[in-house]
Amino acid sequence: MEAIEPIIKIRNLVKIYHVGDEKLRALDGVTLDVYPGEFLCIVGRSGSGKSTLLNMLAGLEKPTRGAIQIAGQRLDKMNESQLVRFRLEHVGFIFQQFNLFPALTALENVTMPLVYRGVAPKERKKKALTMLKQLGLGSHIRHKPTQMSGGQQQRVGIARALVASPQIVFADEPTGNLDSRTSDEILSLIKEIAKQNGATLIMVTHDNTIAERADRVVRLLDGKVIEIIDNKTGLREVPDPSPKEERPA
Amino acid sequence: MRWTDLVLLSAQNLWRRKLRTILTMVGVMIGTASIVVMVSMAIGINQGNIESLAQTGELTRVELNSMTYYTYSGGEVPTITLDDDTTVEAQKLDDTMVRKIAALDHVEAVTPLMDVWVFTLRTGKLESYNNPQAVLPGSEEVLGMEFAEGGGFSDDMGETVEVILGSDTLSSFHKKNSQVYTDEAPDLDWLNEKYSLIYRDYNDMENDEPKEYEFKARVVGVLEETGGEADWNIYCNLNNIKTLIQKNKSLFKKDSELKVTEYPRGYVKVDDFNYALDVQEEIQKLGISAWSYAQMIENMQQQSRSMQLMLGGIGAIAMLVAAISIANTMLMSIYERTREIGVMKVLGCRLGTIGAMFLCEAAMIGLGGGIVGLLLSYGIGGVVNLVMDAYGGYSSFRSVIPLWLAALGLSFATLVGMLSGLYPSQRAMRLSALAAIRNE
Ligand SMILES: Nc1ncnc2c1ncn2[C@@H]1O[C@H](COP(=O)(O)OP(=O)(O)OP(=O)(O)O)[C@@H](O)[C@H]1O
Ligand SMILES: [Mg+2]
Repeated sequence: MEAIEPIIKIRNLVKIYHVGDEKLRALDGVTLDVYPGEFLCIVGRSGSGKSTLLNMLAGLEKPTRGAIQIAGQRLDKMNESQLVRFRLEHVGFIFQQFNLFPALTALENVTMPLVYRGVAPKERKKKALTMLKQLGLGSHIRHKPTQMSGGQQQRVGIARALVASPQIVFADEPTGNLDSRTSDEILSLIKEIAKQNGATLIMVTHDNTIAERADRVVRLLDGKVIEIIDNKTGLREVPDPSPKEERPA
Repeated sequence: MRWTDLVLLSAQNLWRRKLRTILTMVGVMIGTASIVVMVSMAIGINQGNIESLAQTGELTRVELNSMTYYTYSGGEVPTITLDDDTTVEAQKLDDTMVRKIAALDHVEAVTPLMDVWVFTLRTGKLESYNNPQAVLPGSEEVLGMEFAEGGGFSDDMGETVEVILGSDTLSSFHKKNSQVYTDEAPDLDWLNEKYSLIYRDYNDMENDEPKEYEFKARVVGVLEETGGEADWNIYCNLNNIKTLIQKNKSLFKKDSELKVTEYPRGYVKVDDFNYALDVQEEIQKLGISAWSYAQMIENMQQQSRSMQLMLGGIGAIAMLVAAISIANTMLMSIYERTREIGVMKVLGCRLGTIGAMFLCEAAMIGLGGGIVGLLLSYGIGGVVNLVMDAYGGYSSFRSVIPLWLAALGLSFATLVGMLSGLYPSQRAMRLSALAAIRNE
């Protein structure tokens, strides 16, 4: 795997939040490579910076310092319109809170990314239907989000994130609001479709059983990567601590 | 994103908040209706009335009224109040005065009008119950006469009285003392019948019947129907009447109803409608009461102008309030949809599209309000026209909404919507996607 060119390169990424007079280092020099088609899990304690990292990779937040390069493009150099465009072309996002459009039916929700991409009505309906059927929601296409269970809603969310066949799929605790059995099903579905599309999947989770099913697991603590585990080889890598001049010990 | 999707999504979003959307549209509706009705009445008054009045030639006519004619000698001398609130003493409308008026600027022709209702026009066994009036040759134009048969008066000063018949006077001929009135005109060769003017002397009664004197008369013209007052008049040539009275002095001297030295009324033709009011004022200064349609139209225009001003004011205020309320509605809707907008951004919806969507919503509120407002305008215009028609005649305002005004009204309403949506849509574009999806 090391021979392949990474699709995501993260170099010395720092994010500092200013809360009042306090400076808070949410990310403190993260360096990481992600490879195409990989299923990467980000784990760590609450407040360790997992969501911050993921959001930054999705171009939802600007890094304070450091570089992110995805599919050959420097995210840290982009303005907001360019970031939106980048997401349009490369990214699917699955939310913990599902974040479906409440006024739209399951089918309409799934077609939205295609609507934004200017896909013709017939074609997008076909794609969305295929997607929903694959996720076992063929009989719920006319349901509004409030008329569906959490698991069903998340499946709609997944369909919506994957319908445009993005290269990279981000998911922030996608099963955080679901029971363990449903979590398992949902994860299988995400994995299956991502694999089928050849998409790279980066997922934040607290759930060890999920992390076990990933290709690699990255563990964060206080904004730093403290270990990277390759589940296939069982290798455990501990990266160098961040440069001394950045933060004296 | 396709523009059809954009419009559809915007419409859906508005539909989701029906009540609020409709309430917001009401402001636009009132504003649009006020403005459209205002302009429509301006168009109506300038177009309809002046056109129809100008057609009958009545716009260039000034009517003279003597204020001394009917007052008894020895009574208080009546006065005329001018525009600047000064007063002048009323003067006799006599031949000297007629000459003075004729000498005024922009006066094309003047004719005094003499009441000669002591005469009755007769042909064969038929008499007209219309009372004749006497006017000078040349007044055909002043009075806007158009001839169906024959023509105007000649310059003949003889005592055979030339007569012009108004279109509706033909049906006024009936057998003397007949109780049967019909609207049918008798079948006569009007220009070639033999006519006479009958004078009945009530001071000389025989068997309860006044003594009749018969004078020669000749019909020289029959008028087209004009819709004006000329239709009901029998006009005699004033020159002939004067000669006739001169030659029969002793007979007419006794009749106090037949004044020769002064006239009750008269007409002036002005060369240009725009000077009618000036001429009217000049004549009043000479001591003769004067009135014209120009005066009436000016009053109408003034009334209409103040109404337009009021409507314009209402329209402007309503539009301003509407604009504020559209902006408010949009901001509220953006606030409520913060999360949705954030999700849209995460899903890759372009910033421009998001801005356009909100702009489109605001424009649709404007357009929707505009459409209802326009319908309301047609309704109000219809009612105004109906009421005015009921009051009838020339004193009517009319509401005229041409297609361009409708289009202009809609565009304006839409524009107001878009302008009010400008800031909210900028706000929506600037919302941080992350903050939007984070806030629970
Ligand atoms: N917008 C912000 N302003 C200030 N501090 C923030 C902001 N976002 C995150 N933080 C802080 O950064 C740190 C990392 O937050 P982050 O959300 O990445 O944690 P997390 O690992 O996702 O935690 P959890 O598992 O609870 O979701 C936290 O201490 C948090 O308080
Ligand atoms: Mg988190």
